[in-house]
Amino acid sequence: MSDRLNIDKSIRDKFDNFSEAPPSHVWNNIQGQLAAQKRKKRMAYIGWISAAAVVVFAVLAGWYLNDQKGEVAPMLAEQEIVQEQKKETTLPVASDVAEPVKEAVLLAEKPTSETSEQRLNVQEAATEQLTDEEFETYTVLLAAGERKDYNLLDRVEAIFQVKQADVDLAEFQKKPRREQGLTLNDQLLIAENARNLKNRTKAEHGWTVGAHLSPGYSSHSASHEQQYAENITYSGNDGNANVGGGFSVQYKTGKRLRVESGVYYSKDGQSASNSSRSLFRFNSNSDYMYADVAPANGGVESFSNVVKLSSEGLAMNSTAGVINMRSTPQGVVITTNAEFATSEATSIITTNGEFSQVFEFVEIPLTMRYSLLDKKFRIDVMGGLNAGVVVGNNAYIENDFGKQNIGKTEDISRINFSGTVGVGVNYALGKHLSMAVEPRLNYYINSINSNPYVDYRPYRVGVYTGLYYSF
Amino acid sequence: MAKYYKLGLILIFAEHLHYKLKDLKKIIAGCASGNIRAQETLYHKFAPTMFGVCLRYAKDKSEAEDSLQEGFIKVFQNIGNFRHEGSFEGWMRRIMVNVSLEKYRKEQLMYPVEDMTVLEGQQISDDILADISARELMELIQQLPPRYRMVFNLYVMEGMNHKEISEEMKISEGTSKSNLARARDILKRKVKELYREVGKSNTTA
Repeated sequence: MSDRLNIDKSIRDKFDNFSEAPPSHVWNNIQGQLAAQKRKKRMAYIGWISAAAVVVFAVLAGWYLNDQKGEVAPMLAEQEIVQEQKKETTLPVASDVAEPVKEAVLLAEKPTSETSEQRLNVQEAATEQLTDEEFETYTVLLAAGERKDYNLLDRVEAIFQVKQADVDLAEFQKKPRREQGLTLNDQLLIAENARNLKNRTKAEHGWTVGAHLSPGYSSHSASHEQQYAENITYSGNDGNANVGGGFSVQYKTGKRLRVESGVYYSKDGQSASNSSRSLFRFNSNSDYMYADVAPANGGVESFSNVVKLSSEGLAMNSTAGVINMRSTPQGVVITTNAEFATSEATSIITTNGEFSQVFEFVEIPLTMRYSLLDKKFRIDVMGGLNAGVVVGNNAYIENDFGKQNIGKTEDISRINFSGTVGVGVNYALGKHLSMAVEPRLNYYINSINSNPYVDYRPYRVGVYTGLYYSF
Repeated sequence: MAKYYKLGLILIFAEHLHYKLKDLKKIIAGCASGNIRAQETLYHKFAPTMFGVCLRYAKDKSEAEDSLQEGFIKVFQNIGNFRHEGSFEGWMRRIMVNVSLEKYRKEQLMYPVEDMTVLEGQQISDDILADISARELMELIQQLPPRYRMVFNLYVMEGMNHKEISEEMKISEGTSKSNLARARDILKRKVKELYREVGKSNTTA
């Protein structure tokens, strides 16, 4: 036994000093591969940086748009609210509503694991023509450098040209084996390419998930019954800017067609600051004059509106519907005109501040998209329906006492439907990751208020900007 | 006078060794930060020895080249993790062996398991393996069936025991033992054949 150990040692010693210079192309391949890795890393960086840039841009855009609040100078306007009279309407300011930005979750491109990790089972090996295993063996060779790949492409091209132009794939797969004058490596490379080609054409079906932010502008179209409109809060159709966001899932059903769904969050609303100092200026009834009203040039927005007093509280007609206030908000003064002998007591609330009304929707879309162009840049047209669930319905008065929730708009339907159309540009950042910018118009088909006196349909134009991951 | 001369030589040698070690450390640090020049220096310094390792584990030159390439890529990827605790050459060598093992594991699925029957015939002394040159023995090792080649290399060259080999190769210890015995047997026969041929050609010449 020790004899054997000695012999093993002598063999080991023999090999200890054994060395042989490897051919020079090995170093060249290594260098090529290292350079390719560096490039890949850099590309990954670029991918991440551009992804981050998209999100930052979207957030900044949202901010900027939200910041425009109050930039429209309040205009002088007149509003006479007396029940017996027709009145001049005011031209107040519509400004927007602060909006929390939903963070988009970025989906990262997973690093593709080297095939060297894969284990393949024997049965597969038996059935495949040019077995996967053989390819695995030569992955090193395949990865050796782009230069090689280009040569390979040229070679494959040449073969395609020599054969009839439309070589059937199935046929093609069988051929390389019989090919004379090609080395085994060449055949493997060709077959590998054919396989890639097959995979590429196979990608007619597949899933894509995405996350996006949509800075946008929302407004509404509204109409009201005359009687309701007489006492309505005025809100110009100025709309407001805000940011929505959400997640989406797409399924590719055909070469150019995709079906998309997801969960989006969006906001709609308007605010009103009727200029109360001019409210009663031309009203002959001096009783309406109220001493505490903000000075004309104080720069403070003030709001006033007709309300109906009842045992339930205060009811006020807003653009989107009747708002019921259970109690008088702080900092709000109620003036009641007792002199008119009408059946209902007419009261007016006045406050230094602003009234706003906010609806929040969670939308479940079902849309189809069609690719007009499908290259590194993809251009899609899309259209579909959304089910919008109202998850937030609040009205606020913001004055010296802060932002007070004064109640909600009555008669708002829980589920509403809207239509969406859009055009999008999608840019492939990598094999799986892509970035899209897509302006969309989303318009509610039904009035979200079920009150027959009110027809209120929000709409929103948003630039859906996000990242998508396909697999 | 002669005494001083000797001491001087020793000092020079020590200095040289120190310099070399520092040099290697520098090169390694350079590789870790992705310096191409350092990578090239490292490659040229160690490639011949490592190619020798890869050759033993491969069936032919081109497979050994593949292993060497893959191994060096791994070396450069992981060189930042080298802690200078053991010999750097040993660390590299371990990577080459691992790459070869990985290759074998992947390939073994394609090959049917070789039969284990021990060849009949007279026993040949192990001494015969000690007499042959490294290059000749290398060729014979390459001709061994993959599994025998692996076991032989891991046991004899890397000094692994059968338990370790069985874990690395996902075979039983018994199989490892019998594979080693069979590898030795084949090698000895081949060496003998080689000598006979040499003898023949000598007589005919």
